Amino acid sequence: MPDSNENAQDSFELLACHECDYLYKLPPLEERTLARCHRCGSVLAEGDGDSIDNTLAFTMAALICFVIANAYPILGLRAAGQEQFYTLFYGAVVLSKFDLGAVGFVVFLTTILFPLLSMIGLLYVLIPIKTGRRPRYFIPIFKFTLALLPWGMIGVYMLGVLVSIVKLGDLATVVPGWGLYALVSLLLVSVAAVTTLNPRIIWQTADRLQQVKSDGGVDSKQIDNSSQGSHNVSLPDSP
Amino acid sequence: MISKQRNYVGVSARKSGMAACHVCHLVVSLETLKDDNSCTRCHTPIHSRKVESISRTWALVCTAVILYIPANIYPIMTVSKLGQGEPNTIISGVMHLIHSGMWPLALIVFVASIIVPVGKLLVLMYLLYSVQNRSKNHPKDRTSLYRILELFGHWSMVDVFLVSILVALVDLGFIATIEPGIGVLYFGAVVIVTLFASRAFDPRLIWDVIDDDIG
Repeated sequence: MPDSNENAQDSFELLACHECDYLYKLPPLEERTLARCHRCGSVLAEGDGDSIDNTLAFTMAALICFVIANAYPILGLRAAGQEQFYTLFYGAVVLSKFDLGAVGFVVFLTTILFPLLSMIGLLYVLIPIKTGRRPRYFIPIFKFTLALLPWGMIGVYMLGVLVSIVKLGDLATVVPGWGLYALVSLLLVSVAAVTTLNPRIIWQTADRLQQVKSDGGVDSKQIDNSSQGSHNVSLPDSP
Repeated sequence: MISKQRNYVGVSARKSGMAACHVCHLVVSLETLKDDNSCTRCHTPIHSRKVESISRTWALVCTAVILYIPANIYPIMTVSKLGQGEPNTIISGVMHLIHSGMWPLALIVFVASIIVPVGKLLVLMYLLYSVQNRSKNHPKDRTSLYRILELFGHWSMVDVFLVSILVALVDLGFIATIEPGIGVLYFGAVVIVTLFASRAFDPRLIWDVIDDDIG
C-alpha cells in the first residue's frame, strides 16, 4: 500500500467488514458519523456520540418500565359486566395448561427473561465503566449480554398485542391495563438503548481501563494517546 | 464516507492473514495468535469464517422446511363460542380475518407467518446455492438480501405471541374459549430454527470468490 507507511504513526484502527471481510484502517470517527464499507455497504463502525451515557440512561428507564409492565396486567376483557386481565407472565404460563409448555417457555424467554438479563447485563457493565472502573468478569458478562440482545422480542410481542386487540374487538370490549402503557414505553426506550449501544466503544473503553489498572495509573500520557482505543497493528503489504 | 481517502487496504482480512473476532470485532493477525487460537481481547475462539457454515445452514434450512409442513397442517388454535368451534390453521386463520373484513390484520398475519418464513428459507437456499456454485454475480445485492433477512426474521414470532395472548385473555371462558393447537409448537420451532439458520450463514463467503480473483 502506498500510504500505509505514512499512516503507520497516526492512530488508526484496523477493522474488517463483518459482512464481506474487507480490511480497513479506520481513522478516529467524529461523533454520530457512520463508516460504511464501500464494497458491500454494511455499517463498519459508528462514531461515539456519548453512546455509553445514552445507553445507560435508556437502559435504566427500560428496567423501570419492565418492572411495571410485568407487575400490572397488559390487557383485559370486559363482557357481561365482568372484567378479566392477563399479565405478561401469565401469557407464558397459560400455554403449559394445554401441554404446550415448550412454546410457553420460549415466550417467557423472549419476552421476559432475555430482555431482563440483557438489561441487567448492560447496567452491570456500563455503571462501573461510567465511574471509571472495569467491572469484574467484564468479558464473559458483556459477551453474554451481546449474545442475548437479538433474542429479546418485545417489539414483536407488542405487534401481537395490537393484533389481538383488533381481533378480539368484535368479541368483547378490550380494556388496556397499566402494563400495556409500560410495555409501549419499554419498547420505545429499549429500542433507543439498543440504537445508541455501541459495543465497539465499550470494548475500547474497557481495554483502556484495564490498561490504567495494569499501569497503576502512572503512565497517563500513554493512556491519553490511545484515547480512541485504537489498536496499532502493522499491516502486511497487500499482494 | 470512508472512501474519500484510501483508508482501505485493498484486500480482505483473510487474504492478509488476519481475522476479525466475531464477538468483539477486534482484528488479529493469525500468525501472532497463541496456540489456543482465541481473541486477544475477549478470548473467543477466532475463526476466519463461521465454522462449517454451509453445511450447518443447509441442515437448519432443511429442518425448518420439514417442520413447516406440520406447522401448516395442524391447527394453531381453536376458537369456540357457545361450545361450537372449529380449529384454525395458519392459512384458515388468515382467511377468517379476510372474511370478517379485517384485511389489514389479515395482511400482518399473512406477511409475518407465511411471507417472512417462506421467503427467508427461499432466500437462504438461493444464497447457499450461489455460494456453492461460486457465483460472482451481484455480490452486493446478495449481501443486502442477507442483511434484510437478519433484520426481519424474528417478526414471524408474532403468530406465536398472538396465540399466547389470546389464550391468556380468554382463559376464564365466559365469552368463548380459545385453545392453542399443536401447530403453534411446530410453527414456533420453524421460527427459531430459521433464526439459527440465518445466523449460521456467513455472508463473507459471497465475497471470497471475488477476493480469490483479486489475490
